[in-house]
Amino acid sequence: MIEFGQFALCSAWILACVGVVFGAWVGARSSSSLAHVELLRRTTIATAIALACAIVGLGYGFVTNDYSIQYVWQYSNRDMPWIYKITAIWGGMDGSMLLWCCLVAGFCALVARASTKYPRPLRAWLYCFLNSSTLFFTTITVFLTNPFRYLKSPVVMPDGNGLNPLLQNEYMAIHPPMLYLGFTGLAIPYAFCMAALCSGHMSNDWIRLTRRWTLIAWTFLTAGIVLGGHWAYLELGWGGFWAWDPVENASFLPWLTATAFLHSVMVQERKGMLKVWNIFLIVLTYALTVFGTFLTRSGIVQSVHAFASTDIGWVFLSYLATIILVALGMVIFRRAELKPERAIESFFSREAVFLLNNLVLLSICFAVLWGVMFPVFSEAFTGVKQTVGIPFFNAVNVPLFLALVALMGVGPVIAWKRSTPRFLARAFIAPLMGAFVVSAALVWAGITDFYPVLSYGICFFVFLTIIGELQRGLKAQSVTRGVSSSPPAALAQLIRRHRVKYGAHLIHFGVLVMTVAITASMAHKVEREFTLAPGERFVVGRFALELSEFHEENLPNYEAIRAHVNVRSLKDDSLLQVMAPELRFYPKNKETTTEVALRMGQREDLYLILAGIDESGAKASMKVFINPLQVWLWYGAIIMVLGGIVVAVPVSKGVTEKTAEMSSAAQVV
Amino acid sequence: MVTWMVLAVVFSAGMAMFLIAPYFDPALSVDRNGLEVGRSRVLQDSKERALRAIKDLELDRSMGKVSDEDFLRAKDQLLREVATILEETRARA
Repeated sequence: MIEFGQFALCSAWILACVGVVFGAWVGARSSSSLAHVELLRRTTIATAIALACAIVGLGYGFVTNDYSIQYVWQYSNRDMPWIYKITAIWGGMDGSMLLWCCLVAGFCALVARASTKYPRPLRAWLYCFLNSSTLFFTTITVFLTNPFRYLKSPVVMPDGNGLNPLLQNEYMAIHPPMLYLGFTGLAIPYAFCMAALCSGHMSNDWIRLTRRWTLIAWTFLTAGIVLGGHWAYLELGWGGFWAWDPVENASFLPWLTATAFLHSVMVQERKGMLKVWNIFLIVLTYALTVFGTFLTRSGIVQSVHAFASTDIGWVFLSYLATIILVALGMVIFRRAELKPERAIESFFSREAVFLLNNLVLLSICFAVLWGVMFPVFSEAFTGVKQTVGIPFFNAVNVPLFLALVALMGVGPVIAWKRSTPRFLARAFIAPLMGAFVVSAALVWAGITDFYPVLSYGICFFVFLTIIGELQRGLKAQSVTRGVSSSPPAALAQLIRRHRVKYGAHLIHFGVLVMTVAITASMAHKVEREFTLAPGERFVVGRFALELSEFHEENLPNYEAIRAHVNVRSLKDDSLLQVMAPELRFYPKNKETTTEVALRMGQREDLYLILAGIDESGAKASMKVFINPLQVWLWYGAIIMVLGGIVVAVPVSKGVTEKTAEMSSAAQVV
Repeated sequence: MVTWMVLAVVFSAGMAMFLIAPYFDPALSVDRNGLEVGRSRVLQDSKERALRAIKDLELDRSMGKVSDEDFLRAKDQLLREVATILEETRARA
């Protein structure tokens, strides 16, 4: 199978080459046969099939313990459960690049499948640029990080090294693929954008198509980032979910610019403005995904997530430069067609608020990028590598994020073009008063820190604006349609008829829930370290922790020491749960890891780590965190992803009912 | 060795047939016919998108988010779009 995998990978590379070269040739000719365009479409699909065969070939090597393959030997061993043998496919640099190729080609194939209805002038260039992304990553995989290389050894090894213990976690089965789906999906808007620029087909068609694909990629990226946070929370044992690690930041940067694009694209659709800005955002987003891959794989930054240092950085930088220069050249070439149709007339308009939202998102993006690159710049200019840590990122980003959340309450409510003072007063006075009352109540209750009070106040303000929007929508619906149904039925009807609008509110509501959870876990977190012997107890918050016993366990893959800790309520001393934090030793990797014990609750998470056992073996050192409202962070993320699905999934039902009425109106026109 | 070679040959033959098939499809050999491919779906999608936009616009107006002047201009533009689509649909029928 290894030979077949290699053959399929090389076939994919050839097919992607054909797709790029032939696509550019067909795109450049104004009167090409449709058979040529269809061949290009099929080439795009065939590339994905070939790459799927390649990854199946590699997976077969893992499942059958084929240690003649260097990559399999390096990242697997016989004792690993089969699920980790599968996740080991993307556990190292070479396999992760192959997965990346496979996913980007998969996305391209999906676009190709749907593309028969796309405007024809766009199609040849679209296939060309779709294949260019696949070609770049496949070139790296074939020539620089080929996972099908044989192990340079006179004999086949009886067993492999095994996967990094930190990666032996269920979340690793889903987090990287989800994140990669987000990253690779962002190649699609870029391809549409470049196809529109090259073909000169600059109508709003491409921007509408781009919006849906961006939203799909954005939803995957959101899910991938949050799953990564959940993995870090469970596996890394430091009590948090986000450490502004360079690789976390690398995934966050394109998310920020994609979010900015999803807002500014509405201004282009509705008003014909921000055309160059949207192209800038699409290209920047794609460039940041490539940059993120470069950061993870070049070794220029240190991170728990980064792959080993390699010399492929220059390839990424060259591609990055090519993307930017080609896009810049095409924007200059098409500048006449990219002139805005209107200008922003008032600061109190939705288009102005969306632009402000974009500027805040890009400010956050710049701040994060600066923090990531600061060690590199400081080393280049002063010879000393200086890093910036969590305090820098929090100090810069917390106020910007709060401004963003506040804009989230204003943007969807405010009118297009211009808002009258009366409209603004009607829409915002009640939410502002509500926010003020909540903030005052929090101060009265003893929460006096500035940012938590501000954050809760802003969240309540946005919550009230969303409720107000729903109320006004229901009222407008009952007036225009004259239907008086029960409130839940009317609400369901309203959401069904305006899915995109209310799907976006759902996403915003998810962000609110996450913001409250993040604020609570940052501002009211409790952290304690203690030592216990069996029978002793330690009190933290509303819990008493009582160590009952140690338990040793030898499994094929690792050895573990587990502490059994009874968690009792301080109120009535009742037993709430037995928690079992572990220390694991993986002999094949010669690594020790901590396995967190977690008691998730709606009010707070109790997070317990076994830090070590003393030399006599009688006492355990432990660390405990109480993270308030932590679980709501995950709920908020689920709501955001659901909102993304609601907005992205096309539904044609419900529109047809108006067809007859509108058709006659159209006849009159 | 033999297994992978057989797989490779089957794979290559399958791919080649899949790729060159359009050149043997009479519907794709003539440009005019080619242009018909998927056109009805395009028209249907565009019509639904325009109707949805009109509904959103109406809701925005009734919530006071669009001025009457803007509403009339935008609705007129969308209705013209629908009219063009209907005209083409009728001509094709």
